[in-house]
Amino acid sequence: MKFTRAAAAALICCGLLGTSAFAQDDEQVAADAMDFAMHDAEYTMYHEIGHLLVNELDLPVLGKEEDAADALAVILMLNDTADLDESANALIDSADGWYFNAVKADRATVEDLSYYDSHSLDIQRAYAMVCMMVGAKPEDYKETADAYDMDADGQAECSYTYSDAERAWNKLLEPFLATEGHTGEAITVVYEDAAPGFEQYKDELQSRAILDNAAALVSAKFVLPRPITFLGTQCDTANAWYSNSDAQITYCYTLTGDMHDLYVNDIIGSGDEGTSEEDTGESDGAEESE
Amino acid sequence: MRASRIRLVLVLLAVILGAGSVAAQPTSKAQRATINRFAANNSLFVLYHEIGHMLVHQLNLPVLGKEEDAADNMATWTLLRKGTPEADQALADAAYGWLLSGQAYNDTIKDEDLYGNHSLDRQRAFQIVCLMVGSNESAFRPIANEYAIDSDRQGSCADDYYTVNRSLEGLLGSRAGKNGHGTKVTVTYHDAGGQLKKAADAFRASGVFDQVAEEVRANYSISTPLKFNAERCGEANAFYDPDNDEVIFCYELMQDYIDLYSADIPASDVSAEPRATGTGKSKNAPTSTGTSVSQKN
Repeated sequence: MKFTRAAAAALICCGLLGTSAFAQDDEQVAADAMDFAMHDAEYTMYHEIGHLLVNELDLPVLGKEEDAADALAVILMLNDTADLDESANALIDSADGWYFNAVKADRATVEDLSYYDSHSLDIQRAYAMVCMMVGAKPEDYKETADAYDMDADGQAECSYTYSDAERAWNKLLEPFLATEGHTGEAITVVYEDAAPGFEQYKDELQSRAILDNAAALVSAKFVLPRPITFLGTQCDTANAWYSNSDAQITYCYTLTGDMHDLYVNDIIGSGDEGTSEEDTGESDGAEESE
Repeated sequence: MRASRIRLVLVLLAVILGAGSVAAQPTSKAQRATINRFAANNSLFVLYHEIGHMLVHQLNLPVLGKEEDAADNMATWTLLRKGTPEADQALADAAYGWLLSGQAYNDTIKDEDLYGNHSLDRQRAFQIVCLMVGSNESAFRPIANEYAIDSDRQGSCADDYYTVNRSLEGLLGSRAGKNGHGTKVTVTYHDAGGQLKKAADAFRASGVFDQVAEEVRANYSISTPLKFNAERCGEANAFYDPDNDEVIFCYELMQDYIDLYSADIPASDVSAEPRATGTGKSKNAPTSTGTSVSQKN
């Protein structure tokens, strides 16, 4: 169970009263920043899995493929019943990630907004995720939707948004569901070395088995027509993508670092600026497909 | 479980664009013809959009992504496949129509616009142009350049078009052919009266409603008879009503397109081409509306 944003602010405030308490809170912030980044990594892998399924299984996409991938990520995370609290926190963190990315971009320059990008705007992606969440489980996510200032009518309408999306995905994936004795090709997970300063992210991704869990979920559920690789690696950009020609999902440690720093600098706002190892200048479309 | 962290953040994304002036301007006969063409073409796009919703509903099509984007993509795809100068003109007019309406009505992007079912008007404009250049780079590079879509994005628009085309071919291919049993469609033009009469007459005279009805009759086999009603609604809009298997076109919408383009004409040379529209960020028609972008915190 994590504290809320408000509680975090209070903690920091009180932490200033004493050095030892402050150090403790610093540790807490660091731990929460890592949680936040890991939650986003989980969501990002599910988003890329959306692209993977569309392209490997040749699924029809009538709207934006990026929106479809976001929707699938939410559906998979909502249906991850292993630890409901954990998956709820992961979903909320991921939506908040888009929200704060948007706010950060807005503060920097409005020029960053791209109305012709294949992705919806970060702020739209945040709202769309929350809409899917409250649409699926109004009792669990009303508080979140309220925090996003979504009115009651909007929240109610989200139940259709969610059920339409879930029905479409289920209908399209149904012919490819794995059954006992009928499974598809395997997914290989590889964690390449991280650059100096990023080892902690690689280690954490590995110890939480973020890529492995995503791979296990896909291969258990769906019949993949060819072998796939999930690769964790260091990249020049804070990004993740599915590549059809490589039969691979690439997840960059740089993205973990960016989300970690987003939490520390823009959400908690208490970190020193020096923690930002890389400024990609990318505000929109942290995920993309090839 | 905890709630979101966003409560403490008071800054919300907002883009302010100065609204264009909508003063009535005297128009020549040639201008009126251009205005009517623009309004009819935008109406045509909207009708194909509603047909998109109709097909999703009647054929129970699975929609990945927003259904509203899907309906727009279906409209664009339908027009692109015609491959005629008229259809290309309709697409250019429709894209520009979304830019103009974004300018007139979405001068401030509100929260509800960002979590609504529809993409922003500006995004809808760009998506049309993206699929155009994605379907035929050499033919549509000029318009994509006018919309200041960078070359990387123009390149990846080909992927977008590939996906839309593959998807619609797959889902509609067999139904969109000429070998269906056809669909029963009844078209009714209700009286408009009063100030809407001219717009209503222009809508009917354009023939777009009958054209779309005829295409649905010939190209799709929908078992339920469909009603196409043109009427005064009290708002500038168009609908597909799944409960009544009905496509409704409001005369107010035709009027709205006429007004939008009429107000825009002094700034243009009455050519069909959108002027330097930028990316929607700096949509400053130099001579007229003086739109500007500022940032609100």
